Amino acid sequence: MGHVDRGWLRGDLVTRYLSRSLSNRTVARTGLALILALSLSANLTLSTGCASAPPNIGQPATAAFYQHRAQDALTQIRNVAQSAAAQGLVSQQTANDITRWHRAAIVTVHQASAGWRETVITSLQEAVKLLPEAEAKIVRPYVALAVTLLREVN
Amino acid sequence: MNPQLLAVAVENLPGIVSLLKSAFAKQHPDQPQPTGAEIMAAYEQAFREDLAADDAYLNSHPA
Repeated sequence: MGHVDRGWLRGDLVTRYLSRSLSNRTVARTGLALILALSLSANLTLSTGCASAPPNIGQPATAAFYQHRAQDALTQIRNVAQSAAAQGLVSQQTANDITRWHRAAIVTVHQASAGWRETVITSLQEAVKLLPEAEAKIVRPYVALAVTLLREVN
Repeated sequence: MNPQLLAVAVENLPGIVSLLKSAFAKQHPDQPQPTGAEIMAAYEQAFREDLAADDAYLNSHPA
């Protein structure tokens, strides 16, 4: 029993020590590192092969499968911009601009006209270029991830 | 980096994980496959919902 209590106590002390020693800045860096690691893993894993559409579903459904995936990647950027605006990290104007870009981009994906993938990637990169640098830095990791996924869409 | 940035990262992490899971998920041969109709219906629904969400956000957040 005493051994268990000491073990619990040690665990509690470690937790408290970590809580104190990990400043917000450190934790925030860990969050960014996690996102960058996810981006890197996406790059590495996608280079070895992305999950493909189920077989034998026909061309329209196969296209819808990849369009849906592309839309999800684009929506993540919009969600990040809106979260960042809610936290006061980017202006409301920026969040609205990205939301308008997202709306136009998913319509482009939905129309599936020739070259839609490159059109969307180019428009995304141009939209980020128009942002103030401090705000662009916040969305860039997510944009990199989305572009990587978009490039893998068949 | 600041706590607000961490909050953004944490808030969006589930979406990113879900995105990566769907991108990397390999279908097991024994797993039931969605039909073409189900895939198309899911995409159309997601498309409509995202458009509506964009419009709702823009209407409720004038710059």
